Amino acid sequence: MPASPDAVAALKGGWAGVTDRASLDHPAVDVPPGDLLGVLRALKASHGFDMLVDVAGVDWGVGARPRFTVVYHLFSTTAHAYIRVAAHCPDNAAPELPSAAGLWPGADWHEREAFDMFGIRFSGHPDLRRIIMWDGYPYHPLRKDFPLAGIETPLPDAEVSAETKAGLIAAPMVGGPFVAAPGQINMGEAEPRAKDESWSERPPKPGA
Amino acid sequence: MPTEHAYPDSAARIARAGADAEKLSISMGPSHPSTHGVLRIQLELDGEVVTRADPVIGYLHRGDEKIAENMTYNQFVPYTDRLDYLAPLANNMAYAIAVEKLAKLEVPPRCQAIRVITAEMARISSHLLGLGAFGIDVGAWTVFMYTFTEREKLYKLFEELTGARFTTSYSRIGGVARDVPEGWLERVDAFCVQFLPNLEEVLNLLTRNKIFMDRTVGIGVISREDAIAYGLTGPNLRGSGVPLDLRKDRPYSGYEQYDFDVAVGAQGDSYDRYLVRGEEMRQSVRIIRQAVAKFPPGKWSAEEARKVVQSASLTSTCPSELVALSSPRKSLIVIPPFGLSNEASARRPLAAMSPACSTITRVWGGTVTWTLRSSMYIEAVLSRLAARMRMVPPSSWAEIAPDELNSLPGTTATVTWNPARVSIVRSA
Repeated sequence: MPASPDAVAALKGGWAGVTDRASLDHPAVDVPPGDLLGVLRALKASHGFDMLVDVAGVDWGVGARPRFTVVYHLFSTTAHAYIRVAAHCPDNAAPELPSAAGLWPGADWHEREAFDMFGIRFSGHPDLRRIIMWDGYPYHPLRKDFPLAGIETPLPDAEVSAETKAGLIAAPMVGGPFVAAPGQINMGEAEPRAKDESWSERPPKPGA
Repeated sequence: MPTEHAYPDSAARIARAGADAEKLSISMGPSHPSTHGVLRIQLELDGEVVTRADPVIGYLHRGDEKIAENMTYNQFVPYTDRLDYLAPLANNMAYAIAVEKLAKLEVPPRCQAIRVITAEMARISSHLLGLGAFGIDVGAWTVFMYTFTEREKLYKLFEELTGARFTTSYSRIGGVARDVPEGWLERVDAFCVQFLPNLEEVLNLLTRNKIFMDRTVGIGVISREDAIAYGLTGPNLRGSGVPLDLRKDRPYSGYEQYDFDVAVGAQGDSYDRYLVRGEEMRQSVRIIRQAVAKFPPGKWSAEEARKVVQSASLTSTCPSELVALSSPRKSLIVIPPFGLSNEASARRPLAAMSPACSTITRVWGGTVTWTLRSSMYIEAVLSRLAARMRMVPPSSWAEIAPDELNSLPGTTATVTWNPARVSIVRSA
């Protein structure tokens, strides 16, 4: 609100690479990866955006250039205004940005999540491990090329895998109700439970 | 009289022993999902003092974002119930408001009032459970019985309103699923009236209770600076003395017209967070009673919501969807063509949609025409169609100008389908 337009103008004055970003609500800027930490530090120190609300990864799709973007939402606890800062990862194959964990300790887990889900690395992060999936999980599930049903993978524990011969299988529901695999137009076929009438009173119950 | 936690024994021992200290490593959890949510904490203990904690949080991860990418906006509403199953109505509302912002939809005041009432009821219900479980965790079982009695009354009201006690799925994009039932507002008000003395009774069990205070005062202190640096929100942030409340600071859904106070803690300890939650329930009652008192007449759902139809496809990625939704032409209808040219399978979903559609009226040269019984069903039909479509580049979508639809006064619409494009024309 009051502080933010000044902040955007000041950023554009201070960094040549900062540009306006399309936004329906809050002021938003696109920042080159090299200027990211400088911009975030300036917003925190000089413009009162003292709280990092969220760090979110975006995958624009296989083949998009740039493919990966990281969006930072900052909030000012004094002016009660938001600002949105986005940075595109320069390299599609190995997306990487500088870590904001040195500015806000709260960025630690957000960046671990973006790394886990999108494979975006944050250089200078104190402890860049997966946060939701287990260590050693081979995929980044929120990438657009990861299928909704999942991919068959061995269990995280090799000993358990060897003993039980079990693995993680792709979800038979293809992600849940309403969702059919390509080629399966009919929900009755895509969703076997839709045809199960064992609960109703009309047909005899199985085994009754 | 210092509490057991105030004795510096074990902390001092750790400081002296340094890295050589004898530490015990234990794995706490994962606990069952019906308890407090599943997480495992890898703890390192020295005596009773936790020297290190590494939370492992992924056990209930379902990838809601991925699921949402493959659905239409309204289809995702039930999933928002599960994001925080203690306050599903608040989640429904937050999600709906976010999508409405994208679609530039304004909801009517009556809908806003309904949402405020339900969100505050959800807050009370959530805090009541939090309080009850907190009580149990520190050894006060009685509180749980009291709070669950009150919660049950709220659930009865939720059930009357939404048809479900727990998973309410009440919001729709542009409104709520249905209007409030006859006499419901009076019953909400009656609940509020009897709730306040009961709440005081519950809080009186804890607030000056020696055992409770011993276990919460000075425990888990989060400083004001830490709370902001780590991005805490809600009562946890306010417990640390930061007077931040989006209902006051950036009012939405008509919160600016209600008079209420923001509770703030002083020490940032467990006890302060408890006090903040207690006070928030009193303030919620204030808000609910005001909203009930000046409950606005009128529509409870935005009319133009029906005209906003998103393009949905199996791998619908956000950019194209958002462009369609945030377009200033609210009634723009963007429809991707079928990815499959199997006529029979394309016919089935619509034919199964009685009473929305009558049967297929014409099959000619690869074009199938359905007659809809009412233009009301356009959105439902489109979302059904869209859900069955595969991803196609936006350039091949068919667009129908809104004027074309609106200028036709009829109440029925004809859906024409052929393998290349879908079009809808209203006819008299």
